[in-house]
Amino acid sequence: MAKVSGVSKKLLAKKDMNFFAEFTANAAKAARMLGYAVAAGFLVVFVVLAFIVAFFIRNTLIKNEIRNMENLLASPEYATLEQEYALLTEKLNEMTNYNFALTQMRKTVDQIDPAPTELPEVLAKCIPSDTYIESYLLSESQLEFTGYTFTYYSPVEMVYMLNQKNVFTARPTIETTRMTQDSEGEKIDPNTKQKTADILNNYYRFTVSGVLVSNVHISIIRYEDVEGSNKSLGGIQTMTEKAGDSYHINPIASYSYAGTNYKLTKIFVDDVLVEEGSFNEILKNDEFTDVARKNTEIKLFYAPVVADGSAQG
Amino acid sequence: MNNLTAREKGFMYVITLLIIVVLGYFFGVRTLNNKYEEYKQQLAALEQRKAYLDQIRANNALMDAEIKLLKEECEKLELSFIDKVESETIEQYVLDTFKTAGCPYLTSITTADVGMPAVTYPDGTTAPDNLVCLQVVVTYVTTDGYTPTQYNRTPDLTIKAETPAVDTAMKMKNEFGKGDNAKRIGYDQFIDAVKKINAENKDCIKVNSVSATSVNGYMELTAQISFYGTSLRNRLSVDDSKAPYTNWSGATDTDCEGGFIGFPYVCDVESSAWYGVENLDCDPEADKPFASYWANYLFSQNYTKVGGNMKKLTNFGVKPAENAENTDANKAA
Repeated sequence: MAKVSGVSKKLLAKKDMNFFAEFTANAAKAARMLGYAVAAGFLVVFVVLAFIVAFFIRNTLIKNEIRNMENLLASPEYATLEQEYALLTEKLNEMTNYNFALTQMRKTVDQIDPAPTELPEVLAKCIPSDTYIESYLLSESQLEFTGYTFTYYSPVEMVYMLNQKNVFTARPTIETTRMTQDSEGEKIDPNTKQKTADILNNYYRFTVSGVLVSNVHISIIRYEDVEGSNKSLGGIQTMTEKAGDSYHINPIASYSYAGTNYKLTKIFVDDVLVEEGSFNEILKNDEFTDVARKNTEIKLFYAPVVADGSAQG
Repeated sequence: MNNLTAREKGFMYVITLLIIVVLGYFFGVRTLNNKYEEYKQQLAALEQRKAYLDQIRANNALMDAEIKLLKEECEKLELSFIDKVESETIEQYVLDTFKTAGCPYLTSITTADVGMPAVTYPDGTTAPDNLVCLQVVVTYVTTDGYTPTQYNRTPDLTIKAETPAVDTAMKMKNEFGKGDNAKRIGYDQFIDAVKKINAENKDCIKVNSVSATSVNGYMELTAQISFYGTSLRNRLSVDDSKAPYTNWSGATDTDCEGGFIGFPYVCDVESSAWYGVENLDCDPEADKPFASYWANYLFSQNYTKVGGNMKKLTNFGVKPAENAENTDANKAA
């Protein structure tokens, strides 16, 4: 067998064959791997591109949304809202002030009670037969009358009858005085020249004066309790109660005005602050109660309620 | 490129791919993503603004509703007062109410503007709108149940009366204590009228006081009535109620032909109801600045000569021809 450099040609051919086979296999593997890599590369590029396209689409969509929103906000429906709000706030303020002024006028007039014009008829029915009323003065809160009577019981009986009809609030004053001699006794008639006797009973003059059962007026004013604000929440509310009756203001703890909710923060009764204990009791019961003794002004201060439910004071 | 080995080519490929990916990420994905965040923030801001504006819109609707409510309430309040407080209209209404009730014997009626407290806004400033109060004080009398009555030319005793005044006077002479004159009337009618006025409009008409006093067999009755109105700068409502105290309900065709200014010694205005009435207030001794002192002296002399009769002195009712004769006679005398 022929040898090349001492190595058999057959062996050499076999080694070459193995080498080429190995080379070819490696080349095929490398080509396959390259193919995978290209595919993977394309996939990555595709994914990147897909992301880019998707993001682009997403951005386009959101830009459209923004444009639509901007168009919507620029539309007449929204563009003038703030202007309208300013105008309406001013108008509401004007109207609230005007309403406040009118309700104040109403309060002034409502607090003036008319004289009870049915009382002259009541008085006329309470005059004893031995008595006459010479004069009377009836005003919105007082009745004073003067009369004459033959018996000094009559004035007190009159007052008793009037009290039975609930005419007076407090004890009236009664003043009865015997009239000094009024009769001329005996006198001579100038025409007949005869003596005539002027006979007259003793009689009494009396004056009765008393305060009438009257109404009491309770005015309620609601203010916004915000520093620097002098806003009223609506006009003045006036309640008319019989003197001595109790009255109630409820609900009182919260109030709603022009879309804003308010919470009661303090109360002034005739400019005197209601103390904390009583105030908390009022809040708890959601009611203010008192007896109508005299005309009273109640000022209620409210703070706007914020979202968490606490009030800004 | 063809000279590169497969390994090198693969390496190049990987590098290129990496560059593409990096560039794709930095200039594509990341930029777009950043932009998206910006857009998102922008959209969120716009949505927030929309929500704010929606809230404002809701508030506007509520404020608008509140303004409408306040407007209605203000209109109602405005109409609860007399829109125009006019003394003549109110006085005519008061006089008419008492007369209709059967209490016509007026002694006096006066009207006065009563100052009302200034109206203030919640912040303490004075409002330009005012409350107005007109107070009417009327005094009527009852009859005495004996003496014949007379008021407003009823019965008529003027020269122009349909029945001669003398005849009426003679008739009245026989009417003392007879028929209606025998009744004391006026008190119940006065109280009825006061009650009617008090009930007319409780919001703006208030009887403040009523008094009755016995005087010489009759009674003097007084009522004080307040009428409340407003003086508003920008009134919202229109009062078309036509109430008698806001709208003139008296005569509109008053005859003014015989009206005159300045009463002479005897009224000679034929179209006047005062025609023929002597001026009893004249003092014959009083100075007459338009005449000489001598004429003044003669006036009082002439006045005494005619027995203080102004009609005679002035030849009232004497025709011009007769007047001339009288003058001549006077001269001769």
